[in-house]
Amino acid sequence: MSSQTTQLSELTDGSAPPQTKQQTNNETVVLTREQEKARKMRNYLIAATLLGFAALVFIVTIVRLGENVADRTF
Amino acid sequence: MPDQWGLATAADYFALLKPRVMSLVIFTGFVGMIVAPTQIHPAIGFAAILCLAVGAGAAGALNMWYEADLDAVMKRTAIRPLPMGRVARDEALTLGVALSIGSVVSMTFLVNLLAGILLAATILFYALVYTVWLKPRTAQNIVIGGAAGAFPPVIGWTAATGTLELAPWALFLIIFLWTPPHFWALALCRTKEYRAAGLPMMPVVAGSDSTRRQIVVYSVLLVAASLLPVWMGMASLFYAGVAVILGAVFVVLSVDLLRKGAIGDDLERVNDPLASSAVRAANKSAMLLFKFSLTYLFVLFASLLVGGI
Repeated sequence: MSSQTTQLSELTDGSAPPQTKQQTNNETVVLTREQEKARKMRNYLIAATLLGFAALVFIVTIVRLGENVADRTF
Repeated sequence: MPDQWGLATAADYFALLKPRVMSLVIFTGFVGMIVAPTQIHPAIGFAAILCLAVGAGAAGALNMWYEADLDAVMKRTAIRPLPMGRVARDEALTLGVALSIGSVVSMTFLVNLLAGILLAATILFYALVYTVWLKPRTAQNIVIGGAAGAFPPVIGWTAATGTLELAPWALFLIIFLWTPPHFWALALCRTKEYRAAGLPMMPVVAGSDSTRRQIVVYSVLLVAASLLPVWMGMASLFYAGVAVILGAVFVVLSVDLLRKGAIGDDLERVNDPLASSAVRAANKSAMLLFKFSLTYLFVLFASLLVGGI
């Protein structure tokens, strides 16, 4: 990688990298292998959470609909 | 630890939600839901418990975000994801706010409005009233702040019934009175850490002797409150028997803690080779009470559950 490339793991202050500055200098942010792996796992987790939440909303909706159908007056 | 940046795993974010506190919230909320007179559909009941757990976790994340600096100076909390640098403070705040809003909105639309309002009140009480206002200002922080941890059975009950009645407040009172002796038993052995962090916990402000006396008072009040469900007709005789036996043990352990240790001794000196045998005995007694208090609450609520099913 070029000297302008920033290794996130080399940051010393624990804060997020100054991306705006890097972008203007055409620098790229390169994640280490471990950081990429951790990000991938986080993304899978978010996807699973969203899918689970969608399923929960679907099931509760069906239950509520069922209750309302059972309670309706003809 | 900046070289931890970007390495946060699901476990780190989960740790932000204070899973051990969450498990207690889930259990007591579940009991409140089961002993309620109205049956709730299992799917909606599951949604209610999930919202309650996520809401409690969100409050925990907000607490960790606000207290990250304090956590870093205390041995017990220095291994949390924020002091370790595995999760950024902004991430913790975002997670806490997002889960708070998400859990309250979901509770409102999937379960009912009243349960959603109570959940919102609980999160705000824990994050703002306890964490921001009470904890750094008064020795009564855990007494008043304990109300946040006492809300789950009320929310569980409300999720099932859709109404706010008097009965679940008996369960609220049990957890409310259980919190001070439970927490102070541990705080007695962590006095030095709390003092270093500048937190006015009871043993720091009032000293070991006063704290131990107050533990006995709260223990007696707790035993009386634990019999309220029987008096209100929402618990079985089996529960009454369990409450009496467990309550007697709780009081005996509290009195034992009061009697052990010389006046003015710092129980945290237990690792000091020069510490007296009385200090060692008192420290052991405090940790025994702390561990028993966890068993106490679990078994007491479980026996309530046995009568409710």
